[in-house]
Amino acid sequence: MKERYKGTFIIMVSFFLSLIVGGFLMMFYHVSPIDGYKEILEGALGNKYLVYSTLSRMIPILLTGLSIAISFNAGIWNIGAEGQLYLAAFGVAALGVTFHGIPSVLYLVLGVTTGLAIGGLWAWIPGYLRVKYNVNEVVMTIMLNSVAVYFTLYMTNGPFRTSQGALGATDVIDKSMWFNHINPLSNLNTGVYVAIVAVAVVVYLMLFSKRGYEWKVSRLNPRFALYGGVNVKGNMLLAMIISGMLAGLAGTLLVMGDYHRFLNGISPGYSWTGMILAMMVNYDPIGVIITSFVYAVMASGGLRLELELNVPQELVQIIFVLSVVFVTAGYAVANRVANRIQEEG
Amino acid sequence: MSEIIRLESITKKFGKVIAVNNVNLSIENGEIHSIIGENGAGKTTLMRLLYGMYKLDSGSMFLRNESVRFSSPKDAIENKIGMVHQNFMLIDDFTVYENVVLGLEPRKFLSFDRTLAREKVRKLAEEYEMEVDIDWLVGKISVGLQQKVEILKLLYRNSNILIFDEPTAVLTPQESDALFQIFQKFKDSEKTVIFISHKLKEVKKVSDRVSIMRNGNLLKTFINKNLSEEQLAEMIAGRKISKTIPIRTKIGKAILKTENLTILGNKRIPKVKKMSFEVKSGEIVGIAGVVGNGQSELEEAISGMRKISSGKMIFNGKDATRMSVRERRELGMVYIPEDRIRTGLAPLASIRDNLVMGHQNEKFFLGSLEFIKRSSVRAFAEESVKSYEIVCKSIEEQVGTLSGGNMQKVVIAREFSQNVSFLMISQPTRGVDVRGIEFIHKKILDMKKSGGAVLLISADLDEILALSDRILVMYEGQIIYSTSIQDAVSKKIGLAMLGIRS
Repeated sequence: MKERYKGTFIIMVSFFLSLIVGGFLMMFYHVSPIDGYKEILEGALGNKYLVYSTLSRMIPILLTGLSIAISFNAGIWNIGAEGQLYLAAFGVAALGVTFHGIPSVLYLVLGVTTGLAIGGLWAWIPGYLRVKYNVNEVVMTIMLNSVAVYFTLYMTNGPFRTSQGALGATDVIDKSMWFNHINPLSNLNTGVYVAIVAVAVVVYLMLFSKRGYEWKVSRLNPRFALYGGVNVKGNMLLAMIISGMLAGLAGTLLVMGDYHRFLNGISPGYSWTGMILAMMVNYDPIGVIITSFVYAVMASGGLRLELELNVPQELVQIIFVLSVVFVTAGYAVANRVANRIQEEG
Repeated sequence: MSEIIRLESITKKFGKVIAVNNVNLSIENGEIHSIIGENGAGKTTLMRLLYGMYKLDSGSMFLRNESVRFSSPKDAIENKIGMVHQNFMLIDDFTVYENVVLGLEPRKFLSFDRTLAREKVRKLAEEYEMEVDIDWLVGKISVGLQQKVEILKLLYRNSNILIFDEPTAVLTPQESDALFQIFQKFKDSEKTVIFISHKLKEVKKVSDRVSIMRNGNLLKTFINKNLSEEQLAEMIAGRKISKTIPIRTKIGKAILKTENLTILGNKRIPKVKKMSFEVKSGEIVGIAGVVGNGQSELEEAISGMRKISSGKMIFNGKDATRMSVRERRELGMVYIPEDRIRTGLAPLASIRDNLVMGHQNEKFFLGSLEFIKRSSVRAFAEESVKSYEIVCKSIEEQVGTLSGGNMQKVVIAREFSQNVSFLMISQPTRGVDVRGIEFIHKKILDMKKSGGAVLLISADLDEILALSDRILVMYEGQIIYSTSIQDAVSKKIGLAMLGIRS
């Protein structure tokens, strides 16, 4: 089998297997798997508004997933997407509660730019230390996550604490900075267009540009890339910055489109989910798009499953985690089989 | 003499590839038996079968007329068969004697009896006249000495049959001679030596009998005396080998010029010290030297992969001291590194991705907005695979799954597909078979004929002598000796490689 279809095949089989296991679990609740999955699908995609909701759920996971994919694919390990997301989200909110009377179009551009800049800068720090002084970026980014999250926690309980209620959040941002809802019945907002542009840029960079080629080769053998005349360090730093910008954009859209304020726990671990998705598809951006969509469908449908059939929505989490386990096992088995074929014929 | 090993109709396949095909071989007790053949002819595989590293697909093995079946090297060792591999299996931070006894340490009650261990190893070294200080750390001694440690390991385990897999690839001529003397010692004490090599001269020099392998088949076993070197070469390749004939070309202006080049190694210690030399157009300059005397650092610095810490480098009339790899390449520099797999390829990437590296900035491959022109890349890759006869399923295949020879071809195809004024090539024949060597040597001479400059870095003195116009000997980061080819005396060069000025 061709190398690139192997991965797709493993993921499909794994997902299918975990659906089967999920089906058995449904039977514990005296629900037929067919009904259960039908509910999930209907709950996620049953009508236009539900599709919108599912899409809006998909966006932060998609963006963080791509953030991870672009850095991991370039051989630099940005584990700090969560921190970049938080800090950018907070920065945008701080901007939005401070300044008023800026024309909407300008304010939207300003907001998005700020979010991108903060995310990119927060990733630049570990990236620069890595290429310049060979400081381990994994450790650095994990630490910077804590710095970012606790900094925003302090700000929302201190200088930027909302005046309305005891919520750990900032005030609502200026209205002209809102990405408006496309439809009042769902969370999907005009921020989706920004996300689409970002996704297009990432797909172009990773799959069609010279840079993407150099990133991939640098990851597979940095010494070879250096030998071939690639500016390995510059490329690494660039990947890190773009990665941070994408995570920052995820946070920005959550503030400007979904919540219209920054709140503690604004991300329930989007970047970790995104990381798992990115690794599952071997950093392929198209793969991240597909899997984050499937994940959003499952998550949206899970709500309906609980509401209608009394099956806990955590079930979809189990299915998701199981498919990760199966994929991992699948790669291990595939490699083993491949080795055996090579060794023994 | 009596027969000690007999192999009957041995076959081993890897996937669809038949590595060893129906081989019959008989080895006599106390002889030096060479096995010679091109890369990929199946020599190493055959020996690994004998050593228990691979399992037989079919056929049978007899040791002193008894049928044996080895499922792991352990079985072979128990039957007193030992093997010195191409890559040594030693622990750098252990002393020589510790490495030798490792796994079979003499004990005093529960503790390791160092006195006895040292005594035993010292005696062994003495018996075979190997001058090794047994208390040195293995990481600190030369490759030639490390090899002796490997040999001592086998002797310590009482091996009677010693297999050497291309042992001279890493040695200077003097060291090789010393090794051959040890072979003679083995012979005198009725041990059997199996010597794998593709160097004709050495095989001619030491063997009692020679077996020739080609494409997994064992063609025939000859008594060494009855065979000339030319006959041997033709039999190995299956056709006539044209000898490289030195050609006279007009030597022009300097393409590469270095002045007082100093380069730091990985441990921030200068590995190249104030080196000044020139390579002119139409000229091949050979740098001889034992591996590890600063050649790698020199190559990397010239290619731009390593910083030049002081001194100056002029390339094609421009100051290139601080130029990036890309700038140097764009000025017409081509570099074929010593370690083709680790540096010259990304084994996990596809053949296509490996072929286009270094060319990705060329207009032919790069559209507007830095879009890669996929169809151009594909066409280029397909063309290279065809014209260099790279055996593969498709250009999407991972390079790492190709055979060694084909991986080399990928590197060569890529590097020679651009406009070249300067070629730096390091250890060109390492891991390359006779036919590959012929091809590479022809490319090097073509470069020279077309007015290019070539810097040839090799530990293989014969190769340096065959190709170079001028020879520089590098020792501890400096040029210790230089000569034109007309005045070259191989003995003097060999001594200079060991740091002895004459």
